[in-house]
Parts: sequence; C-alpha cells; structure tokens
Amino acid sequence: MGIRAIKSISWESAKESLNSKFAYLVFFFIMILIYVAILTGIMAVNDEKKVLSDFFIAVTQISLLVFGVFSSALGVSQDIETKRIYLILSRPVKIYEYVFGRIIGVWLSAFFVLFFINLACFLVFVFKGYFFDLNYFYLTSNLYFKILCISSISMFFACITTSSFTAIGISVMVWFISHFITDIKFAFDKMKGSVHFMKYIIYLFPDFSASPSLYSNFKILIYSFVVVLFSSYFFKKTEI
Amino acid sequence: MTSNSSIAVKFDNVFKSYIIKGFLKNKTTRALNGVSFKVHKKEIVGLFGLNGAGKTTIIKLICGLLTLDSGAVEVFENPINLKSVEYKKLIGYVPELPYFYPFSTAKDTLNFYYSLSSGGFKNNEKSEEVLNLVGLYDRKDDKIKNFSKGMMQRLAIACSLVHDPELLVYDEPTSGLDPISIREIRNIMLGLKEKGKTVILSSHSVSEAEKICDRVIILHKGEIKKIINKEDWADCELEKIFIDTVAYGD
Ligand SMILES: Nc1ncnc2c1ncn2[C@@H]1O[C@H](COP(=O)(O)OP(=O)(O)OP(=O)(O)O)[C@@H](O)[C@H]1O
Ligand SMILES: [Mg+2]
Repeated sequence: MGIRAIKSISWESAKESLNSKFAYLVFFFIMILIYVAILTGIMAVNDEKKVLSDFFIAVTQISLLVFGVFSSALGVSQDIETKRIYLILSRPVKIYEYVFGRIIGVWLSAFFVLFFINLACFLVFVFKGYFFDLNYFYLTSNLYFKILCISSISMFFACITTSSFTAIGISVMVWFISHFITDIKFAFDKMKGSVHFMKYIIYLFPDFSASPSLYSNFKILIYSFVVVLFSSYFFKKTEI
Repeated sequence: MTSNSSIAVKFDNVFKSYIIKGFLKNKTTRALNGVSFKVHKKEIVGLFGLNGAGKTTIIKLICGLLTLDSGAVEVFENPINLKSVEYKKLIGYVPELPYFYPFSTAKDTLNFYYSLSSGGFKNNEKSEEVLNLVGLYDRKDDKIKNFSKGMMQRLAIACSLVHDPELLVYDEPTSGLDPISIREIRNIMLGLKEKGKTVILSSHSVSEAEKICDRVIILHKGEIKKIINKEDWADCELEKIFIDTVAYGD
C-alpha cells in the first residue's frame, strides 16, 4: 500500500523545506526575540511578561504562516516547473501518494519550526526570570492546527493552478477571511434578498474565528484532510 | 509482471494531442498521429526525428506520465493508464532535462529514488554500485548544486539503474556531453543489453544510433515514417535514409 511511498516522499519533502528555508526563518525569529526582550527591559513596561508572550505569539504566527504557505506552494509548483515530478511519477508512485507525501512533509517541517521557536521563547522567559506557563504551549499548538489547514489550502491551489504565486496569494486571503468567519456569517444573516445565497459560500472556508477547543481543532483537521483529498483529485486531472 | 512474451513495449494506433490553454479558446496540437510499433526484449531501439516529431511524447507515454487520446500502450503486457503504477518498477527513465534537488547529495538522491521503487527501503550498496558505474563514485557525498551538466546526466542514468529495471527509457541521454562521456554512456547501454535489458532511446545523433541501435524508428510530425533494422544500413547510410525520409518523405 501507499504508506511507504508517502513516508519516503514526506521525509524528503520535510528535509527539503527545512534545508532551504528553515534556518533563516528561525535565525530571524530569534533575532527579533532577543531584540524585543532587550527593548522591553529598557522601557520597563507594565506587565512585561504578558507583552512579551503576546508579541512572541504574534511573531510565531506570522513565521509559521509564511513557512507553511510558501513551503507547500513552492514544493509542488517547483516540482512541476523543473519537471522533477516526471522523475518521481515515473516510479511506482500514485498521484495521491505524491500529494499526501508533500503535504505531510510540510506539516512535519512546520512542527520542527514551531518546536525551535517555542524553545527560543522558553529560553528568553527563563533568562528573564519568568515562569513559563503551559498556556503558552496550548496557544501555539492551536496555532499549529491552523497552519496545517492553511498549508493544505496552499497545496490545493498550487495543484490546480500549478502556479506558486497564485497559490500563495489566495491562501493569505483565505487566512484573513477565515479569522472573521463568525462576523461574516452574522452579517449575512442580517441581509435579505438576493445576496442571501452568498452566505453558503462562506461555509467553504475553514473557521479560524472560533475560540480554540478540541472540537474546533478536530474540525480543522478534517477540513485539511478533505482539502488534500481534493488536491490530489484535481492534480490527477491537470496535465503536467 | 514480466511475461514470457518476447515483446517489451507495444504501441497500437496511438493518438495523442496536447491542449494548450489560451485566454478565451483552447488550442490543440497533435503530437502523435496513429503510432504503432513493437519493441522486443533485449533490443536497443532508437527513436529518431526532427525537433517536435513526438519522441518525448512516446517516451512519456511509456512511463505513464501522459494520458493518451485513443489507442493502446502496453509495457510487458501491462496496459498503461494513469491508474496502473506497479509496472513502473520495471522502468528506468532519464528525462530530457534531468533535475534533482540541488541541496541533496548524489547518494541521498539515489537512495530516495530507490526507496520509491522498492517501497520504502534504502540500499546504500546499490547506490554506490551505480555511482561507480557512471563514474561519480568519488563525488557521492557532494551536493548536486555543484555538479556540471554532464555529471547531472550521469546521475540521471545512475538513477535510472538503481532499482535494477528491465526496460530503460532514455530521452536524449547524451545531449550536451563531451565525446568521452558519450562513449562511456554508449558502453553502459551496450552493457545493459548484454545483461538482457531492453533500451529505448531518443537521439539526434545518427552516428550514435549506428553504433548501438538494433533498430531505428524514424518519426516525422507524429507519424512513423520508417522502421529500419541494423542489417539494412551499411556504413554511413543511415544518415542518408534519415534525411531522405524526413525531408522528401511527405
Ligand atoms: N506540454 C506540451 N504542451 C503542448 N504541446 C506540447 C507539449 N509537449 C509537446 N508538445 C507538442 O507536441 C509535439 C511533439 O513534441 P515532443 O516533445 O514529443 O517532440 P520531440 O520529438 O521530443 O522533440 P525534441 O527533439 O525537440 O525534443 C510538438 O509539436 C510539441 O509542440
Ligand atoms: Mg524531446
């Protein structure tokens, strides 16, 4: 069955995205971390710990968003542009194995990135003499689910358009819209008449606006899985 | 999966067009126009033709990388469609412009492709053996981004051999190589034939074909114009046959 092929491809794909982009990203992140930590120390802000942890989470979010969206869009579209995909598909590999291998590789590498970023935050907290509470981990692990989802969406658009540029652009838009799903649904409920049907379009988006819970994360996970399934279905249809 | 029949590859009245997506209207170009031929096991067969004749299209169809419009392609009696992938264990493919992930080493790359064919296993000995065969053994731990074009081509050939396939499908394996490399690669192909493998290659070099092919298929605008056996060309005649066929054959 396909598990072995998926494993080989995902491992290779994780190695590739870590090799080329990971080091710079983590390095950059740590520089920002140190810079802000020094800055808050000098400014002596109230509740420094909260300011720091809010800021770290925001930067973690941006870093992972960029990493996830770029790795999955570039992975597929570069394989097509360089025709490396022919070498891979001339082996006994099914399209769905390729697509799942690619996306799982991105998920794995995003996990590594998150791990190192969290480690860096932890060290800054320890260095500053603050207690590092587990809530921080909880927040970032919820973030990880969103990254799983948005990288799948990025993969989906890379598969159907074979253009990394389009895939990245659309994914970033989906990311922002998905954070306002509750508000948008509310707005549509108020509306009447012909625009009402547009309400249903919003159900196509993942819901990042709900407060994180086991249930909402599970929903995001299922959503991502379905998106990857659709990606491989459409990828089969595109002539590469 | 390999059968007792002596046929390795069979094309039966194959039509293939490409769709070129336009802004308002899609255009189609016909690449293959009713192509039929057979390749026997343990043969070296050359595909000849001008640019755009359809050589690469035939090769991609054998590797299951394209869908055909009509007709049938069989490889070792397995009918080819996008669903069947098992037969690809028997194929070693070198594309027109091989590309490998530049930050990986030669050996890791071969291990990766080996694992795709073998269902997830690695084989360091086999990787080193094929690197030795193509003369890249002492560069095995170098990153591919430091390789020259010829070395990439050699790596691609190593990659096509690492899983010990029965059929080798080479798209212009010697383009852009120096004379010594060309000769080495030619010897590799002859060695493969001695081991009982089947080789299909596309090429632009008549002299190369004369030296190694058992048969030559001349394609022109997606149609087979002539299939010539080795016995039918005496020294230097192949070039003449080829030019006569494609230039005045219409
Ligand atoms: N991806 C593609 N999209 C559209 N048309 C294509 C595509 N690939 C090939 N073609 C067309 O199909 C025909 C055959 O192309 P093919 O690549 O098989 O030629 P070839 O014999 O390999 O040529 P060359 O010697 O230049 O490599 C050409 O007319 C070409 O324009
Ligand atoms: Mg070609």
